[in-house]
Amino acid sequence: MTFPLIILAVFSIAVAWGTPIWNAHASYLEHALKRDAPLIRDMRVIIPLIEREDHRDADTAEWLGLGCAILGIIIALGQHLRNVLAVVSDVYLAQILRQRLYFDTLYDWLFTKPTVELSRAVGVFDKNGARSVSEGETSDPRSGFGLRPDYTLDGAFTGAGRLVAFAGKRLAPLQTGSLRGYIAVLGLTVVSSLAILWVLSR
Amino acid sequence: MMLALGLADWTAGLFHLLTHAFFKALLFLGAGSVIVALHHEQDLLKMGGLRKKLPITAFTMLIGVAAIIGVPFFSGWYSKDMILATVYTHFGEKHAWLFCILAFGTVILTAYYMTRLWLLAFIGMPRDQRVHEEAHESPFV
Repeated sequence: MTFPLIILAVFSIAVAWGTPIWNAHASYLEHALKRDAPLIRDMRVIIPLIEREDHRDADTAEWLGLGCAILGIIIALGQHLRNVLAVVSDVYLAQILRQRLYFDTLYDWLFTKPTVELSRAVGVFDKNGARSVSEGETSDPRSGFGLRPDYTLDGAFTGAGRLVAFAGKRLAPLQTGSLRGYIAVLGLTVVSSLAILWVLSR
Repeated sequence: MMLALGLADWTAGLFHLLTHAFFKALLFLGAGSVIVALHHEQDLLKMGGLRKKLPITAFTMLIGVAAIIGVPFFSGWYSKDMILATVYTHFGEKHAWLFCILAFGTVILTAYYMTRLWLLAFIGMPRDQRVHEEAHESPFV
């Protein structure tokens, strides 16, 4: 069915063409019809028409007809666009209202997200944030960047504290009166002293 | 055509008859192609967006629409212009203004309903998804 459509489309374009193509009164088909037009006996009708033939009238009619066609097309296009816009506005207006004029989204972009990003950056140095990620304690994956606690400022202070606590724990037996501790220290001192004397005597 | 014959312009009437034969046949065949493509669905309000499904039918029907509207350089423009010129030359006569209004009013109406028909059928979003999904281009012959 498309083949006859194409054939008819070609004739619908070019069947009335003449030379030049832009002259509406230069059509070959029109000239052929005029040449073969039958004689009309009642010239009372024809003669006034022939006398009245004026190119200015033809040009005016041509432009007027074109204007009317454009007007019809514009009305149809306007109606179509109005319907399309009505559908589109229905859909998008509902979406906009459903999103509460996108106020929350705007607020999120302007304030919430920058604040969260800043918090994450600061959270690198935060003991709780780092620990929560390293130990998997939190359900929020955005908290902390996963640095080990030992590498943070908190870790440094905690390490120093642990070192002091360890040393204190080791030295505590010397002050608690534990005999076993005294003997052990004394023995180590004697062994160390003998070792030093042996090294010096060589 | 009848208007031209009534104003004794035999050539204009027959000229329009010949050009009209081609583009009206094209439009009827195009309408038939759309109906077959949509499994005999004839409700224009259920169509829409068929341009991608029926590209040849859409394009050839657009040519038919342009021709019947009287878009310059399409066959309808030459013959319609001749009739309008004939009508316009009678404008000063008694009651002749009525024929002028009829002729030019018909041009507006034709441009309106043909453009609307084509837009409804081929442009925009599909109005019936079932009809749109089953649509297919007509066979070659």
